[in-house]
Amino acid sequence: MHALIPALQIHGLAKAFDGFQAVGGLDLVVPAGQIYALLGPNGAGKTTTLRMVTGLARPDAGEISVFGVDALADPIAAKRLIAWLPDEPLLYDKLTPLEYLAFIAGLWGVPPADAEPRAEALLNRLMLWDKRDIRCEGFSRGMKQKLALAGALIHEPRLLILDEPLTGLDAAAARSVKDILLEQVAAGGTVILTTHILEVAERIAQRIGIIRAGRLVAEGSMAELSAGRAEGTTLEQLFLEFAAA
Amino acid sequence: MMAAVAPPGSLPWLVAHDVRVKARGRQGRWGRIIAIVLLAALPVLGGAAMAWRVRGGADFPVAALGAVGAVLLGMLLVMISSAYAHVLRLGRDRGELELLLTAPVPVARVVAARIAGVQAVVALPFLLLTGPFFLFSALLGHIGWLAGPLVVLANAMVATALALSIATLLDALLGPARAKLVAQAAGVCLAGGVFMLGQAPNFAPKWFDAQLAFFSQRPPAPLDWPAQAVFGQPLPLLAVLALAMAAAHASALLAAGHLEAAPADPTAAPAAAPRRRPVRFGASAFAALFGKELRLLGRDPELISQIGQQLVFMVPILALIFTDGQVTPQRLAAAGVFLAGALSSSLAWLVLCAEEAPDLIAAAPLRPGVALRAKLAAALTPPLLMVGALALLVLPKSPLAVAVMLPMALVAGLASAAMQAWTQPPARRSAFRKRYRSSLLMAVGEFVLLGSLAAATRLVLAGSWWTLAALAVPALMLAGVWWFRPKPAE
Repeated sequence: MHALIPALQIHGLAKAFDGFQAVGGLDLVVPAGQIYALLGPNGAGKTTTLRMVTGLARPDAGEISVFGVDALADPIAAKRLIAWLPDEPLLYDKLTPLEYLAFIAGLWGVPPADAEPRAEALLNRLMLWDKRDIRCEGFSRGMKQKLALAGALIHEPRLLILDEPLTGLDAAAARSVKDILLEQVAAGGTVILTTHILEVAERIAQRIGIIRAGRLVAEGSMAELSAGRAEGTTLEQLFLEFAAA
Repeated sequence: MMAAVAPPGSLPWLVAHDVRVKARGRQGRWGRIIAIVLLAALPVLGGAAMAWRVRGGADFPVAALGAVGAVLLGMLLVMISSAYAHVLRLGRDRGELELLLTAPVPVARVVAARIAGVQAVVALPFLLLTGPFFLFSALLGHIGWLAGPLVVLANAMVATALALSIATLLDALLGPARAKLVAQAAGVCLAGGVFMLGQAPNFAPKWFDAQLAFFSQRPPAPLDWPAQAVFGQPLPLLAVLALAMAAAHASALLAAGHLEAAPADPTAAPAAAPRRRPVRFGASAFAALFGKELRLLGRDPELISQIGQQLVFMVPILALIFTDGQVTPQRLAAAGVFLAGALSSSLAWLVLCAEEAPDLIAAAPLRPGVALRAKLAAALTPPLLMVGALALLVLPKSPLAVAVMLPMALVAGLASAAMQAWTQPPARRSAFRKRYRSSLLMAVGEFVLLGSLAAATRLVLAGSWWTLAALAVPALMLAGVWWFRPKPAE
């Protein structure tokens, strides 16, 4: 039953800043249980769109529905289903990883019986358990990004939204993040990510949407997007074609 | 432009670059210039008046050497405190410094330019304060007194060298974290010392006069050389300047070693053994936010020290409340209200305007108002605890004063928090010290707001109808600020 309801449904979404139309009448449907890569050139409106979905920005027009919940009419119910991981990790330097996860669990109202073992499992999975009592201020960029990911996962979101999740990560950290995203989908979750690393999108995303100037210009699986083109067409070629068109 | 001033890569060119970078990126330039001009007018007028008063005196006033020496010593202590804060930042803000260090320019020169910047920042307020007096005195015939500003500058160079030595020694002995704690404790002690000294003429006038008499005696040579140098005595002046140059050179060497020893990548530093603390899961959203804010406040020694230092600036106001030396419960209640409001203002700015992860809070499924209430509770808890301690002292003498002080302290805390929330833009916590630079009006407004509430506390305890007038001032101010507050932008 749940699989029939899209994880995210956007209709006529629009947002302007000081006369600049960042998003203009965007329609988008993200099926549940998939990894969806939202691609586009810089300034195309990807981050603005995702910020409106997560309730961080108010749209000028349009509708947003998260698993059937009207995110504009009932933002709290929608936020319970979502985790947001921007490219700059949302951390507190003076808190330890365990304190940070306890804080996030408190914000999302996760019962302690669930939150505590989940925190331990996540920190172990992301190789941060040994650092659980050390303040984040001395952490590397990759460690911070992994901890932010643990924070996003502690309340078991049904929709995980990541903005450039692999920025600044080393190969091992990037690999563990990709593995976690795949596990998330295998467990029934949905992932939306933006990335400029097109190989990653090509490899792990089931569906890809390309937006330009705040509008969706192409969407589908890799096979659907490259239909009618020469064999071996890469996502990079498709992206350059759609983004420049 | 800079190349016209000095050849690229030279020491003056590097200093000019440092000054340009520091001067840019601040809002409200004209407002700041007007404020500086207004503030500078006071020492100019005061300096002119003092110079006129001593115009007929000796060029070398031997009787004044003790007092001048005491002033220089006090100046040196304050300069060391100021230089210490800047030296800590030298090691912390490494990003741009490392760009310079990778350039084909001698490291010692880059570091010397940074040290020169610290020396200038430390000396500047004292030069502004004392410079007019020396200049007017020179114009009125005491030409030798033009050496005064040079001695102030020399004092700043010695203070910077001492601050660097202290920082290096503490870092080596205690490690960076504990060294910061020591700095915090020193800041609190300094604040307490200044407070007690400011109140000494009221509480212990005889002791204060005795101290003044002691420090007014001329010290034996060569301890009186700095004072002699102020009046242009050649040999002491040369000695003081030579000492300052040697201190500056030594501090540049020390700083180069200090910066090279500090880890560029914090993760490369050996991690301290983690201290296991029980972490409580399952708190409500309110409790999670409340606990988070108090933890962040309590874990920043530098911030606590800065808050303590800002409270010291309230000493003149408290001196007004206790102007005739009488410490009554009514006056203590008024002082408690003022201090609670001032402390709440600082903490409210930190928790409301300097949230480190605002998007995280905004993306959380919180009922409207929960985050604001939790943050306000965190900002008001320390001031109310402070007022609570004061209430315990006052209670045996006047329960009525306590009954008025506690709610008025809460009102003062909420009012100053509202001023912060309605007027101050989001900022980083590191901007705490600079938060009023862009809005002198806001600083004055908050001063009037808290002064009115303190006055209202005292008036209500005196049973005066003027209480209503005193309460009308903050009410009107808050209404005005709310009406003209910047509308939220996404």
